[in-house]
Amino acid sequence: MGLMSNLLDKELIVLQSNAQHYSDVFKELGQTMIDKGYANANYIEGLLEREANFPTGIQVETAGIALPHTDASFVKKSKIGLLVLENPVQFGMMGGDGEKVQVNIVFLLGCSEGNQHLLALQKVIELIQDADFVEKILSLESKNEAYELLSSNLTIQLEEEVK
Amino acid sequence: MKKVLVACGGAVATSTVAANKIRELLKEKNIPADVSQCRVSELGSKAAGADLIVTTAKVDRDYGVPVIHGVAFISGVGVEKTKQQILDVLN
Repeated sequence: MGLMSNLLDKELIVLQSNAQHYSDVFKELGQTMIDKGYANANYIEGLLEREANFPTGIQVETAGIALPHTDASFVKKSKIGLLVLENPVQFGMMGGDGEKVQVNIVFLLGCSEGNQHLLALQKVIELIQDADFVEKILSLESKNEAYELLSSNLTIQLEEEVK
Repeated sequence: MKKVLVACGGAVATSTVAANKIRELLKEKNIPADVSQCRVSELGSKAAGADLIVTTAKVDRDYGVPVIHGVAFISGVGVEKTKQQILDVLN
């Protein structure tokens, strides 16, 4: 459990968010990162600037997912946040030419320097490619359920990595 | 030895995932390659001598090197097509 569960915090899990714009999403998760001492005071600006230059929306088979992140210098302690939207919010498409993605699920990748977060990041990306996992995220009903789902999946995958 | 540059906005997050997938692919196909990561903003100075650029971010400039979009490695959608494009360039 240890390594990956350190990356999770129930306060960084938001279900049924009513955010209308991606900036609302960044403010909601970003402010928690700042308030809990995980990120610098200018973290939200960092997220907004990065998203404007390098959008992070991706269309997987059954959902739109965004993976906002910033330079590691904004982050003091690596954390992964999850926000599930009540109604989809528009993000720019990663690598796209101005195309948009209607996003239902946001994974905030709060990555500080070092290798630990890279493993976690890769695991998150593997997970979002798994339609069953995405389906489970979309049907989550409580923060506890979300925390269990994330910690068990990230942990199992990490153990496989170690073998 | 082929030289592949994998670029994203910050050279840490998405490019790491894409670079690892490309290393696996080239190993599997026995194509010796040096796969390195950089920021999109560094491509101008690093592209010289590369055989291929794979990027998860939008690239407008012509670097005189083939550019393949690697977002499929992140979304999982269209991965086989992207892999084939990479092999076509390097073979």
